[in-house]
Amino acid sequence: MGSMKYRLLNISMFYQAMFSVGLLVLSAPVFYYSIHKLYLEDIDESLAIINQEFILKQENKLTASEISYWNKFNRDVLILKDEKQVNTNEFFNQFIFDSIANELEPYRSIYYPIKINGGNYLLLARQSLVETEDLVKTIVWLFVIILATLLIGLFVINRFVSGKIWQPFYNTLHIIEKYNIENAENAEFEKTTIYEFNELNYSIEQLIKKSFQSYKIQKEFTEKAAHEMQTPVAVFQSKLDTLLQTKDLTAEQAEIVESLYKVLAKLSRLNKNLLLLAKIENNAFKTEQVVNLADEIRNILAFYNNKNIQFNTELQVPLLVNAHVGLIEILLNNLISNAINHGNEQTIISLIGNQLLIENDGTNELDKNLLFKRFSKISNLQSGNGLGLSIIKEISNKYNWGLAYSFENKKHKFSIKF
Amino acid sequence: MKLLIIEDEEELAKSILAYFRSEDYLCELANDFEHAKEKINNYSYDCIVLDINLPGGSGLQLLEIIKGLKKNEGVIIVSAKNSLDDRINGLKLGADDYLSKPFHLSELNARVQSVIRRKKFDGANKIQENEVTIDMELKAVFVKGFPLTITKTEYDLLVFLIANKKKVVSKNAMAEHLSGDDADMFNNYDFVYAHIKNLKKKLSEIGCNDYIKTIYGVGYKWEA
Repeated sequence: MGSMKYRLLNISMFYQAMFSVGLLVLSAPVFYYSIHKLYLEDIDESLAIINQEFILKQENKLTASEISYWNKFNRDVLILKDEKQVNTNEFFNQFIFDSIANELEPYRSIYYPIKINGGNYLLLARQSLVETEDLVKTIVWLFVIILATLLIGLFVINRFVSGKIWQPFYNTLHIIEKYNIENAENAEFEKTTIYEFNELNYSIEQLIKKSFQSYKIQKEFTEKAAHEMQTPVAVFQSKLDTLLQTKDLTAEQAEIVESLYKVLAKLSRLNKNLLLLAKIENNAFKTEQVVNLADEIRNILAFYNNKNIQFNTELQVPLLVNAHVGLIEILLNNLISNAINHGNEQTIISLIGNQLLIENDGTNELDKNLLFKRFSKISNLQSGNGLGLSIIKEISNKYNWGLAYSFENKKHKFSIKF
Repeated sequence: MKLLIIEDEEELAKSILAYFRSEDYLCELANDFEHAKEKINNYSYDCIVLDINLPGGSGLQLLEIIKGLKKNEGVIIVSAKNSLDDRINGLKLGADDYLSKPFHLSELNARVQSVIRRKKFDGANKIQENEVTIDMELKAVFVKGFPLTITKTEYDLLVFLIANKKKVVSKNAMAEHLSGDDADMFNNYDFVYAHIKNLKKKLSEIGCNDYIKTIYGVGYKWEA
């Protein structure tokens, strides 16, 4: 079927149509020739009867002088002199000119050898095929019309009934399409009267149940694992803090402590991000409040006061969003720190209408397929843990905000439509 | 100052105790629910550091007991749960602060001091450190009586360093102190360096002694 997609119904209809047309095309001539043959046999029989009748009733009574008289009144049973070199007792088709219709007409004929007054004669018995031909044609036409009507009727009924029969399948398909494992535990299917579709629905329900279980276990695992890691990391960090207070700390030791701090910060950040993602997925952030985006951005920018950042806002009315304030902070922080850490020149933050746009310079477009995927290292920067953008994506999804990325004029542009 | 540390993780408790004892706090430790309950009922503290997950019960139950006793004790919840909503719930129940694990001891120390200060001197909340005066209410810094113009970040760092005076505060702890718990800020060691540089410059310009010492690049220490 190549790359084109066909509906199941259309495929079965296609084969049905092919078969029907084939049957029609083939059956018409077969039917025609069979009927035709039957008629010829019929005619042959009646010609043979004419011959038998002649032999029985006329052959002995007729005299040679009466032959011309006979021929005068008999059109289709003629007595001829046996001077022609013809095959006797063999049926044959011939065309005879009909002076009334002024055209050649088909005849079925046969020569029988007869004896009149001791002389050899031939009896020519013939019958016009014009009427039988018409009859055969009429019968074949009738047959074709009946067959065609039957096929068209079947076709229409099939289409209508199939459409109805397949309806539960399309219902099921619709439910599966709409099913989102993140939002629903079970998908509910309507009961149908068709065994196969009930079986299908049952299997899908089971599949969904199992998938949801695995999904839940996986989510819980991430959250639990991240939780369990918090305490050892906390111990580790507290020991480093304690070590740092040692009286005679040498430069060498300080260097080791510092590198441990850096690794630990990464580990801790990674763990916190994993927990955060798991919690967003588990719908842990339910409280919402009205947040003024411009204010939040200014709060974050206060931290970066010695960095090259331009904040444009052309708002007639303040842009307020209804969301969890902690998540908003994380979202903005991630976007802004990303732009600052990855760009070398100015970072431009614009808040216009209901859209936030954050631009920083860059050399190459980032892979859009990988950009928001977890742990996909799209930049060579060592500091990221590959979760920052996933978190941005996850938060945007939660509130149905339109997150987009583009690369124009050597600038990475991240935008969010609130 | 009297502290009660309610923490079941032995090694973490040891570190916390060691840090606070060197700060001349009187520290007691309870490592499970029953011990903690006993101590809360029988003694008074200036501040209680409370872990949520404890053997024998939840820290939140202890929090309710503390609040029921109506003693003026500060409570800082320390939890591995690390959820924004947990924090809000903890604070709603009457905790004064919330710190998620892992945390820096310097951060805990600063929070404990802040809670105690708020409880003890409501209103006149000032820190006096040699010639430096910090008005916590106004968020203003004065050196020998002259106002010092500094940014919010520099102010935060100054308060943080003074709270942990005579202790080495790692750049890591300072960065986290500035950026908050859940913020995803990488590369922020450079920021700390830049902010400290500015702070030192401003302090010396106004005639303050150079108390902020650099410790091998790993951190800073306020040494008066």
